[in-house]
Amino acid sequence: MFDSLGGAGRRHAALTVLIVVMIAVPPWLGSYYHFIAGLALINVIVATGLNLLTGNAGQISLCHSSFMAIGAYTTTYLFTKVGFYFWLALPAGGLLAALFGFALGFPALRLRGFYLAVVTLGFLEVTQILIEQIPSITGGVRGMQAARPPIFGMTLSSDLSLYYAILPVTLFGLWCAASLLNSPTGRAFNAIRNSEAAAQTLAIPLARTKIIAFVIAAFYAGIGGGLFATLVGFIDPIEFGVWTSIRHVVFIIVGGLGSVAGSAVGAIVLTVLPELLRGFKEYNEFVFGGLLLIVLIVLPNGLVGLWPMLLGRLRAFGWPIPGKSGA
Amino acid sequence: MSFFMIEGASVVFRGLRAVSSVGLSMDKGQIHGLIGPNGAGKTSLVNAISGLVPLAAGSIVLEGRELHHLAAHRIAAFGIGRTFQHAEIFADRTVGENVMTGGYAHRRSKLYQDLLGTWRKVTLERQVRAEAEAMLAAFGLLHLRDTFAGDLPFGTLKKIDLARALMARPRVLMLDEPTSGMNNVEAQDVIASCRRIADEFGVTLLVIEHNMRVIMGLAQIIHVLDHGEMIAEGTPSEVQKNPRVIEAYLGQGAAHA
Amino acid sequence: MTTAIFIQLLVAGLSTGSIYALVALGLVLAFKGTGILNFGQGELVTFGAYVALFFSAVMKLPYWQVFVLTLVVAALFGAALERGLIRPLMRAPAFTVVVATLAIGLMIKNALRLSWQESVATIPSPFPDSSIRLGSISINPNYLWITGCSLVIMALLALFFRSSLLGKAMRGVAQNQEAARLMGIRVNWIFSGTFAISTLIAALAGILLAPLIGIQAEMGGVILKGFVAAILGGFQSLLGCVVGGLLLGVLETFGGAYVGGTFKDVVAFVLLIVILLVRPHGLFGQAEARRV
Repeated sequence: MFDSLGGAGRRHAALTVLIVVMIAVPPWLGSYYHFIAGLALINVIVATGLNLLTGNAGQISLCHSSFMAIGAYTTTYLFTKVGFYFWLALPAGGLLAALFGFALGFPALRLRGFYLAVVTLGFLEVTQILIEQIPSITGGVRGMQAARPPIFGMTLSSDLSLYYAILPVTLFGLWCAASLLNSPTGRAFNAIRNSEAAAQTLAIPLARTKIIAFVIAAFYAGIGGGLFATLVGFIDPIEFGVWTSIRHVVFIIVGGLGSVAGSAVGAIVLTVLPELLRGFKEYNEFVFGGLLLIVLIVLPNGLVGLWPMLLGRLRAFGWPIPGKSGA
Repeated sequence: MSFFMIEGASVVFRGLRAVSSVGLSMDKGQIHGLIGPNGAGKTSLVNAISGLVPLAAGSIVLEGRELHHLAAHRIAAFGIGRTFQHAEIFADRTVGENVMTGGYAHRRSKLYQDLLGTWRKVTLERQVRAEAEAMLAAFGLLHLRDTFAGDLPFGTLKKIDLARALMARPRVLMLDEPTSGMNNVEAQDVIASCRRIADEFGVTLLVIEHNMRVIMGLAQIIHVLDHGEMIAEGTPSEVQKNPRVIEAYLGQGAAHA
Repeated sequence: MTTAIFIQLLVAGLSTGSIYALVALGLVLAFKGTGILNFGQGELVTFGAYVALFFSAVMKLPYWQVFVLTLVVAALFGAALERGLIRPLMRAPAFTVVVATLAIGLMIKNALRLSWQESVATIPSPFPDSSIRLGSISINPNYLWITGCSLVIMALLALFFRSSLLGKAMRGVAQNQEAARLMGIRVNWIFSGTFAISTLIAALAGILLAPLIGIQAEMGGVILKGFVAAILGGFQSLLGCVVGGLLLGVLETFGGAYVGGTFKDVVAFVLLIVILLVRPHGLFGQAEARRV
């Protein structure tokens, strides 16, 4: 049923395994890793939204960190300064980010490829400047203090407890994305990426579809931003620059463009990997770059292609593996 | 007032008149052919009718409704469908998904239903999937349902394009070289499908073709374009004898099969 | 604003602009010649600067020798890079290649940072530090050197592509790889050559940039400005890169003087967005029509 995940059963299985891991593994890790796990979940949310926009709808966006920033500042401001209930402040942050996503959909109607990328980059620059220019709300360059949210009366002060509060949000986000890709809107996304002409002649409205994609992706990023602020406990505007945006694009490319499982796998692997490479000290970036390169040369379609590739190799060796061609 | 009427249509690209004051009218359920040498403006005319390219002058009316001011997707929703010279297939999607994408032209679930995966969306998907499979079966493509379209030969892609366009239940369907890339057997297959589409489902067809044997045997009325102008129209036998047409083709005519 | 200040700002703007133009040129050249959008181009600029630093500070060579040697080393490095790492990636989808070039850039940056731990890093300029005086205007000769050098190199490149056999072969490959192969052009060698030139240009930018901002591992950030310049120019032609880069440099410098430091970058982007919305293919680009 979920063939939007790429190759029917296979990726469905991958996602299931991943979800089980996400639920069961963290308590067994050291407390430092609880923080990383929470970060990974947040990156999954942002990556999923971005993948819908770029991997499926084919719209390049380099300002995702700005949407995160909008979500982060809004949620934290409403929670800490205005006194909103956190779990209401969070979607409010998402909605404000979505509003900006809506605005950014309009340049997308006229521009493509690098040109669109540059406009989104411009938006990012403008947002960064704005953040610095209204310190009364945002705390300017010095940043903003965030706090841990309460739930059912208790404050989620430990990283592990916050992880389990973020987890249902992430899972819900993944669910919605998978459902979307298996729906008229999802098919419209994939259609406009492949051929705008054909899409239009099948009664798919280009403008509406692109804008919807931006709005959804921005909402996801805003939610991710709000959660990020509360996990770290502090908002530093440096975190929301170009390289963060690029990092998220790397997540979805390494994971697999256009695939929900790819978003999850890419985000988790690339959040955890730098931590594992800490042992290499100064060489860690070098090793990271090298690993990235190797993965991309071997699996140009991302990590989700690993399983089908292995099965394909085994089949070539004569193993009796059932399967369809070209999957 | 005929079912589908085009009057004085002109298409201009940066000063080049691709189509000059072309008119044609079709009755419901008819099959018309649109022929002419390469560069005559056939595809440009079809592009303008489907709204992908602006109409510099003229009007397009379907069942009394003026369509030329509408956006392309609205024209499609109103019932004008088409296939493409180069098939315009969604290469990284499976054949099944390609065909399903056409199925939402007249029924859609709301965005929140799509996101949350409500019952409405699930049932709609099931319906469209079933219809797509029936359509694939009708074209003999069911075994390719889960194959990625990008891996397939051109002739097959043309069939997928046709199946996909039909899913949108068009009232007028314009086919751009539907038999290109096919051998004679496949071409006859497609022709039979076209006849069935017109007869059983009452779809009105406008077919661009270079294969003379195919189009002369299929269409009731043939329109001939040359250098953007309509130089002849009539029954196949009339058109084949028309000296202007023969001149335009430099003697290719019926020998070109 | 007095004439003196105007001229000084113009000169400064043109020189920063020429560096942007060079970065843009390297990007566009690699892209048109091989189809690869090299996101590691910024790191190649840094590479050029560090190689120059090596020849200057370690080997203690005079500026002119440093200049020439760095360009030669850069060209060889570029060709090796293409042969070794870029070639296997050519069959991959576009997005994948972009990330791969980012990864390569990351590795280069890290390697350079590790190989040069000392904080002091710059190369001596070819001219004495004192300014040239023309009436009431004082001009830093470095600016003139940067602008002049860049323009000369770009003119040489233009000549190369127009007249030389190799240049024409590169243009042929850029237009249609298949046809070029069928004509007997060794396309693979052309790819290496294109990357060699692209890296050489990047290294030149690095050498010229070094006296302005000093040599450090983060120099590669200039790639963003290079992208802006390339896009302003339409991402297609040599002339486009030059005009785009110079325009960006001048507007940025004047904008910074008028509006203040923080808004300098915004000026560039606002300009870009405005131009793109009005003329989506840049000043010199041509709309790519897709036939359906």
